Amino acid sequence: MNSPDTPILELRDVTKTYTVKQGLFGKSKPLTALNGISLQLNRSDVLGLVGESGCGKSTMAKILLGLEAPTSGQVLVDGKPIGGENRLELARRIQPIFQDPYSSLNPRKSIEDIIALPLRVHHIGDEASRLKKVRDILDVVGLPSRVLTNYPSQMSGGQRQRVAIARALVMRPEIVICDEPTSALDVSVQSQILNLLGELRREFNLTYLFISHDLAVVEHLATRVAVMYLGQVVEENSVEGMFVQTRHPYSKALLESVLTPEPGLGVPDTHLGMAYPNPIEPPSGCHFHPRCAAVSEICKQQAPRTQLTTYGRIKCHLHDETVQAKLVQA
Amino acid sequence: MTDNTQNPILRVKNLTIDIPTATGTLHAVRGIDFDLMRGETLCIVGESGSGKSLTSLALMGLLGRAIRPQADVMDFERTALLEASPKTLRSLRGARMSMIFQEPMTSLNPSYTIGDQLMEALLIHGGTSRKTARGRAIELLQKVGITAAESRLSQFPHQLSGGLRQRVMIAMALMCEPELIIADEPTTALDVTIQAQILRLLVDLQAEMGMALILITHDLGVVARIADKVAVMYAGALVETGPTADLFAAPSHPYPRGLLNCIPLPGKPDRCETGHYCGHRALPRGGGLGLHLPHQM
Amino acid sequence: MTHSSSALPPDPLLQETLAPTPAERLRRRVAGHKGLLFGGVVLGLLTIVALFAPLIAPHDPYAQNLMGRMQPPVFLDGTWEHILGTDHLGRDYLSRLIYGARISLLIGTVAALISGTIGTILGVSAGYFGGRVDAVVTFLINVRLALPVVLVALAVVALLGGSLTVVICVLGFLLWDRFAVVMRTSTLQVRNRDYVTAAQAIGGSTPRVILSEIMPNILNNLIVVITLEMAHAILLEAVLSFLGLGVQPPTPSWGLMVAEGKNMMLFEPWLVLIPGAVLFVLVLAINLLGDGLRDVTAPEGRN
Repeated sequence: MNSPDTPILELRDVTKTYTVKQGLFGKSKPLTALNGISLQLNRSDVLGLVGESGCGKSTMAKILLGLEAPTSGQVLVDGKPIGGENRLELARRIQPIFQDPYSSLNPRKSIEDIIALPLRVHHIGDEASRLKKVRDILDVVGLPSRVLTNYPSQMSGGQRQRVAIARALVMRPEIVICDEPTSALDVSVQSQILNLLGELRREFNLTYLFISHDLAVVEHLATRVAVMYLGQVVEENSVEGMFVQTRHPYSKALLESVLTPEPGLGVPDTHLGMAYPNPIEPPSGCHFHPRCAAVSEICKQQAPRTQLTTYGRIKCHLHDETVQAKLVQA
Repeated sequence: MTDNTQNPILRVKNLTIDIPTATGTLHAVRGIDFDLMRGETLCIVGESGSGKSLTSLALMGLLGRAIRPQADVMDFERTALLEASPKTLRSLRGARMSMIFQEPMTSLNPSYTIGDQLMEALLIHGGTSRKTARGRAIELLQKVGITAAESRLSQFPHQLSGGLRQRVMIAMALMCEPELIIADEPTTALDVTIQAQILRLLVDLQAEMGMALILITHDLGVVARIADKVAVMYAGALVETGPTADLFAAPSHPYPRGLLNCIPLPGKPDRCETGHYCGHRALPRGGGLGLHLPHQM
Repeated sequence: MTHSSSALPPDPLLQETLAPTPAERLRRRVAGHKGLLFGGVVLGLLTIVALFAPLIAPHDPYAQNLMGRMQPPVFLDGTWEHILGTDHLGRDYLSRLIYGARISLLIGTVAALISGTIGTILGVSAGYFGGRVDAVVTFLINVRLALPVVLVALAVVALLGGSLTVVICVLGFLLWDRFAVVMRTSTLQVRNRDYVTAAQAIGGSTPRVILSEIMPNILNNLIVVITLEMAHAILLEAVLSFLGLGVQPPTPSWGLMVAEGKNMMLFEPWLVLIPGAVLFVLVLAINLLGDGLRDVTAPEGRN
C-alpha cells in the first residue's frame, strides 16, 4: 500500500504540446503549453497556481481532469498513474470548479438535475437517496433546498457558484481543481465563496489545486504557491516563503501588481515590459528575460536550472550560485 | 475638497434613471449628486447592478431612447447635457469627453483596422487631415506603451492580446485630448500585472494632460490607489461620498465597511459580513438596506 | 442567501425576485408573438384536416364524373354540392385539396425528419469532435451545396420513376445541408461551455454529453431549421409534381393539381389559383411558425 507521505497528486515532468496552424495554408508549428511540469500535492494541501492568462494553467487543469492526455510525462494520483481506462474512477476523485458560473451550469437543467448528474453518471444510489444527497450538499454549500427546482437563470452569480461547488462535491472527491473560482464574481460574493471553500476543505479534508492570477486570493487560501510562466513553473514555495521572501523577479512583479486597498500608495510600477510573449515562438534562454528588470547577458542565452531552496525551488540565474560565481569572476 | 478655486468640469445633482419594464418601473439610479474638478479622479464603486454603468452611460448620453434620465443639474462645463441637442452631444462625445469600456474585444469593431478606428474620432470631428490623424494615432499608441506602433495601425483587433486591446481603447479615448474620461471597469477583464500597468498609464496620462477621470469599478484596491474621491453606490443610490483617504480610514456606511472587510488580506478577519446582494427589485420600500446588511439586522 | 423574507410587506416588485423558470418565460413569449400564433393555428388546422381527411372530405377524391366536369366553385355561381367545383375529370376539388394536404404534410414532415436526422448527426459530430471529422463533414456539405437540388431530384426521379416514396427519399437525402451547417455552428458554440467540460470531468460518456448537455441547448435551432426545411420540401414536392416527376396521378397533390389545371388556366384560373393559394398559406404558416420559434427560444440563461 501507499505510505502516508505519498503525495495524493503528483505531476512528473508533464509536457503538453499542441500543433497550431498559422493561417489557412500556414505551416503547423508546435505550441508548448506545458513544459516539463513537476508538482506535488500532499493530502489537504492547497496549491495556488499563479500566472498570467496563456501560461498553461487551464491546460494543466484539463490534464488533471483527464480530459487531455499529456504529450509526455506522468500524472499520478496516490502514486498510481492515471490513464484511459479509469476515467470514472478519476472523476470520482478529482472534480473541477470553473471560473464563470454563468457558463458552467447548463441553462436547460434544473438545479437538482445539475447537482445530481454526477450521481446519475456513476449510478450511485436510487432516485430517493440521490435526492437526499443533493439536499445534503445544498445545505453544506449554504443554499436552501427550495432552489432545487430553480434554473440557473433564476440565480445570482454567487448562488450559481455555490451550485457549481455542490456539483463538484456531491461525490465527495478528494481533490478539487478550482479554476479561478472567484474572479467572475463581485467582491463581496468573492470572499463568501473563498470562505466557503476554506470551510469545505476543513470539513471534507479536501486537497485543492487553486488556479488564479490574483496572488491576494491565493495567499488567503493556499498552503503552497507555484508561479507559472510560459508553460514552466518558475518558482514554487510555501505561502509564508513566497510572501516573506519572494525570489523570482516574475513572482515579485506579480506580488507588486496586487492592489491592496491602501490609499496614497499610488499604482505600483511592475517593471514588466508589457508584452506577454508568443508561446509559439518563446524567447531564447530564460523565457522571462524580455520582461525582466534584472536581466543579464546569460539570461538571453541559457535557460536557467531549477534550484532547490529552503522552502521550494526556483528557476532563475539570479539564484543559481554557480552562475553568479562565474559572473563575479568575469 | 478644494472647492471654489475653480468651477467643476462636471456637476451632477439629483440624477435619476427609471427604466420602464413589463412589470413596473425599475428605479435603477435614485437621485445621485457629485462634482468633478479638472484633473481629479472620481471612483464610483458598487456591485454589478448597482447602477454605476447606467450613470456613466447617462453622462455620455448613450442610454438609448427608451430610458430617459432626469436630473436637476447635469452640466459638463457650461453645457447642460440633458437639454443639449443630439448634435451638441455628438460634438462633445469623443472630442471633449470619451469613454473606455470594460471588454475591449466587444467595443472595438472587428472588421476595421486599429488605425482606422483610432483616426475615426479625429476625422469625424473635422479639421484634421488623414496624415495628421495618422501621425497622432502613432504618437498615442507609443504613449500608451505599444511597441511597433506604426505596424499596429494595419492590424485588426483580434490580432492583439487583451492588454494591448485595452491600450488601444485608451489611445482611442485620448485621440482628441478630452477633458473628461469615463472608464467603465477598464481592467476587470485583465490579468493583475496588466491591470497595474494600464492603471499606471491612465494615471500618468491624466497628470500629463490634466484630464478629469471617472473610473467605475468594484475593486476597492483600484480605488484606493488612484482615486481622489470615492462615490459608493448601492442599489441605485449613493450611500457614501468623500475623499478616498477618509473613506478607507473610517467608512461610515455599513455597505462600504462590509466591502472593505471582504478583501482577502493577510491578518484580516476571515469572515465577510456583507449580506447577499439580491437586486433592486427585492429592495423593501424606502430604499433601506436592512435586508442585506448584518450590521442592521 | 435569502431571496426575500416572508416578514416583508407585500411589494409588487418583490414578486419579481424569483425570476420565472425558462418554461414559464417561454410560455409568456409565445403568448405575445402574433406571427407564431398565426402560423401555429394555421398549421394545426391543416394538420387536423389532413389527419381526418376521410371524415371531412365531402366526396371521394378519386371519384370521376365525366358529366360534371369543370364545375365552377360556389363563389363563381357553382353549386353547394361541389363547394370548390370539380376538375377536368369531374372530381370534387375540395376533397382533392383536403387529401392533398395529407400528401404535402406527409412529404414535408418525413423529408424534414430524414434530412434532419442526417444533418444533425453530421453537424453535431463535426462540431463536437472537430479535427478530421469536421474536415470530412465540411467537405460533404460543400459537395452537397454544389449540387443543384431541383436538377438532381429531377434526374433521380426520372431514373427511378416518380412515386411518393421516391420523392420523400430524394428530398430527405438532399435537404440535410442546412441542418448540418446550423447544427455544426451551434455545437461549436456550446461545446466549449464549462458545463460541457464539467459533464466530461464527471465522467459522462460522449453520447451522454452530447444528448443531455449539448442537444437541449441547440434544440431551438434544430426546430427552426426543421420548419424551414419542411416548407422547402413541400414546395419542392409541388415543383416536382408540377413537372410530372413527383407524385403520380391520380394521387391528389397540390403541385399536381396546379399542373393539371394549367392547360385551362386562361379560361378557369381558379383551377390553378385555389391549390396555389393553399400551398402559399401552408408554406407561409410554417415559415411564420419557424420565425416565431426562433424569436421566442432566443438563447436564454445568460441574462
